[in-house]
Amino acid sequence: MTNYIGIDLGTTNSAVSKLDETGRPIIVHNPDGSNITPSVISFSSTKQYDVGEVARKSLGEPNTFGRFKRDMGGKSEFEAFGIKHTPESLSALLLKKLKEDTESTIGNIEEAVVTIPANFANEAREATLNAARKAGLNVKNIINEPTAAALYYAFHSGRELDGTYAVYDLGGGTFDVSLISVHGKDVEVLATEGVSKLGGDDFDKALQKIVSAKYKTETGSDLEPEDYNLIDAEDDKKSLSRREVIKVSLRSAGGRASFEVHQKDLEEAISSFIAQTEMLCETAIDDANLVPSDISEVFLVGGSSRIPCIQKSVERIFKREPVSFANPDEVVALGAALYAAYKSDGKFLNSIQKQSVEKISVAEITSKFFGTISVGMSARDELTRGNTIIIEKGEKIPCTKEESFFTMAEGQTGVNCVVTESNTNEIDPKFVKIIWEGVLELPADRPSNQEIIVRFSYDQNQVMKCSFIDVETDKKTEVDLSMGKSKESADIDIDKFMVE
Amino acid sequence: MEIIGFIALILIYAFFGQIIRAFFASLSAGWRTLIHGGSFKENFGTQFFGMNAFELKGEKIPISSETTFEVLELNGKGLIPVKKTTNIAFITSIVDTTDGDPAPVLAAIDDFQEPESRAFQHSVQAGQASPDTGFVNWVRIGAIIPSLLVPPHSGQRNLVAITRMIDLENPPPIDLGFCDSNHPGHLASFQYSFKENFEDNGYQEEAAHREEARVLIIMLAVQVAMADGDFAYEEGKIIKDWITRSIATYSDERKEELKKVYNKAFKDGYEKAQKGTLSISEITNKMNEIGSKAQKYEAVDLCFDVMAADGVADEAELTAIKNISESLNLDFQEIQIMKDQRLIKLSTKIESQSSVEAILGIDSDWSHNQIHKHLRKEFTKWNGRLNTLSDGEERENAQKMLDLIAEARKKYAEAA
Repeated sequence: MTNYIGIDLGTTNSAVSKLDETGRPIIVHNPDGSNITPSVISFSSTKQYDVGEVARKSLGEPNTFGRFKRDMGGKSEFEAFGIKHTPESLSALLLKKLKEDTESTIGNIEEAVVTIPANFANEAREATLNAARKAGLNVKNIINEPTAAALYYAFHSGRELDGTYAVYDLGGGTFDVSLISVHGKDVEVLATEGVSKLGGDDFDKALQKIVSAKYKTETGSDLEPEDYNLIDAEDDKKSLSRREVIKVSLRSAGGRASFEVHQKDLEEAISSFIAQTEMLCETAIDDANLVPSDISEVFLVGGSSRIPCIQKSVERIFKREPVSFANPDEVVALGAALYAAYKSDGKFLNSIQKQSVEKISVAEITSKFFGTISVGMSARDELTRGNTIIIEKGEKIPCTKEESFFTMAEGQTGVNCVVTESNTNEIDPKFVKIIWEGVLELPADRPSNQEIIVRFSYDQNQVMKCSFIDVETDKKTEVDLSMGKSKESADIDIDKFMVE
Repeated sequence: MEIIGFIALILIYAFFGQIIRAFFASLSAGWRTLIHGGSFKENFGTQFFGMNAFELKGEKIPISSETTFEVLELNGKGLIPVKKTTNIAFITSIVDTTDGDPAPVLAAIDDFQEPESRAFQHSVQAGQASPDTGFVNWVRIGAIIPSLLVPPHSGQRNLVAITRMIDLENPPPIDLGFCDSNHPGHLASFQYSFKENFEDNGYQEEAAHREEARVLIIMLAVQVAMADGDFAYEEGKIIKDWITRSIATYSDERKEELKKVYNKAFKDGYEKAQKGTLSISEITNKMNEIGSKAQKYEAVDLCFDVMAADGVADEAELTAIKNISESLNLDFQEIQIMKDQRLIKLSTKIESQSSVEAILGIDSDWSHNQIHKHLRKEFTKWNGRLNTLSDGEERENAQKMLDLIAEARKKYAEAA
């Protein structure tokens, strides 16, 4: 059988989903019978490695890596047995394992959609796509995690959704909040905010600190990290989500100690993180020109949204009790499976599956500001380089925007063409990311003040065409930048990248 | 009779000759109008009566619909006065005639300055020009952006743009806008008078006040250095280096004089700050009277450098800079940019005892809502920057800013 699948490539756990014969998205179990696979890789030699639950048990030990998604697209390196791995190459190994496990259960995979946090930088999106290609997956599209979650809620909540909804997605490593308008099967993203490094991992570390401090108070000695590692903290954190107080018993260098840890201890320790999520929720509401009372419901996504004080915080901001229909760990993958079927050519869908996704309409918005760098007058009456935004964050896709610029010098023979990306409306070039650079050559012997139009067109396939046009001659420098769609799809054997 | 008949014949011949000339002139003018532009009347006049003497006119146009900047275009038309084929250029200078004798006018940016001075200069190369040729239509031979001009004094000024036609093979020297018109390379000059109003100090006012303004800048920097009650070696070095740079371009004799003045200001400022008698408001009031906008920003720039010198963003220092910036009426956004550029580089910058209000620029007069809104804006700003900074100190500092903003949020949530 041939399938279209959705993959939630999570910081802590990953999940795979597909449409069943009745057109409903279901989770594909891994060979352990579990719905989720820990996003952990443990190397036992240069070529031998474990992925998932087995690897998770070695977390904290050398040559075992987790949470690499947080550094996706960055320059971080993870060294095992003399070989340096990147977040992209580790993600490729994880995806390869998910692919193999899925194929062993459900058969051939025709096409996959991989989810990414809404605020992922372009480099991180590209790195995710590259990882999928290296894993041998045919990935033509990616989808923002909150949008995938909203899709799932919109279609399978058991009732017709009609209004504005918030998706609060607090996972193991990232936080996203999206405001989404849902009318029947039309899903339109109104605003998205997020932090790339905030999630359950931070809460685990906070709990580890609490326990270490309590151990020291009890015994007067420091707690050895291996006697209470991050996995222990994660397990205790889950217990604290269900109970007001837990009892922790430990043996370390200072001897045996037993003490209580209260929910309130954890709440206090993670209050700074909660404050950050609250500010982003308020910003998203402002961005969408809404007030909390405009929002019909708040959907919780991600394992960390189970923590009671998180739910209280959501209630405080949105002025209503949040709802969690399904297992919040699986919602994103389930939505991705719907999206995969929706974006597919439908060749391998049965008539019921086709019917299930045929009326889907997903209207995305840009998740970043895109601009260009030019020279202009600052408030100090000085000529300075500044970033000019061409496409605003939150702009409905597709969109085309343009700005006019003018040459400065007599006989100017060229213009540096720069495309920038930023999370905020930055004017300081130091704080923007340059995602493309080129040159527009101009005819010599012209006076200054020649008009150059900079036009960015962001299409529904997440491709942004950037044109720098000399108005007088219509001469252009253009580039197509893929902002979330795979440029190519090829089977690449990941083992080729393993150094002997 | 024969003579009368002869004269009549000549007149008839001349009359029909003019009609034939007019016919061909109108054909040629029509062709020129079609191909090269301009009005038919102008082109006909040129073809029939010949080209007029060269003339200059000015026209103000906005640089673009998006900006408020205007450009004064200088356009020329007519016969180019050369006796042989010459490679010519038009060089425009500006003089100020408000106070009688013409005085040079300077330009704020390099692109519009003489090679050896800050005096305004704009040049356009026109290529080879032959005798009896010229511009039939108006052609741009110069451009002036009035907002970039620096006259000798502020206020309403009478200015004259002088566009000189020169031989590029033998260019005459032009110094501070003045040129020897007898130089063989000076072919002709044309003038266009215009008026402009300047709010900022002129260069003569600036020069008269420069020394005094620098004394004030030093005192402000000393005040910031002493704001935390301590004068660190690094802070003193920053001020010393700034003074050294300020006097570097003067003659040795002048350098010695200025050194004494600035060292005295440094010492006096230090002693007054120690005694607590150095008043920020007095200094900033004086600065507002005599200082240019650039000098005011230079003062805050130096203050930020002093703050960053010891690697710590101290609450008292930040508060002092905020007060100075406000008193000098400087742009809030620009000050934020200057501050952020320092904060991102400070390795040990945010001390736990530092007030979050000072670092984040929270005004004590703001309402609870204003503070929350400001914090959200700062948070999204630094959160966005985190994605653009590569791993390392700057990224860590951006993360520290996020943590700090979250702490402020908690503080004000609890206060609500």
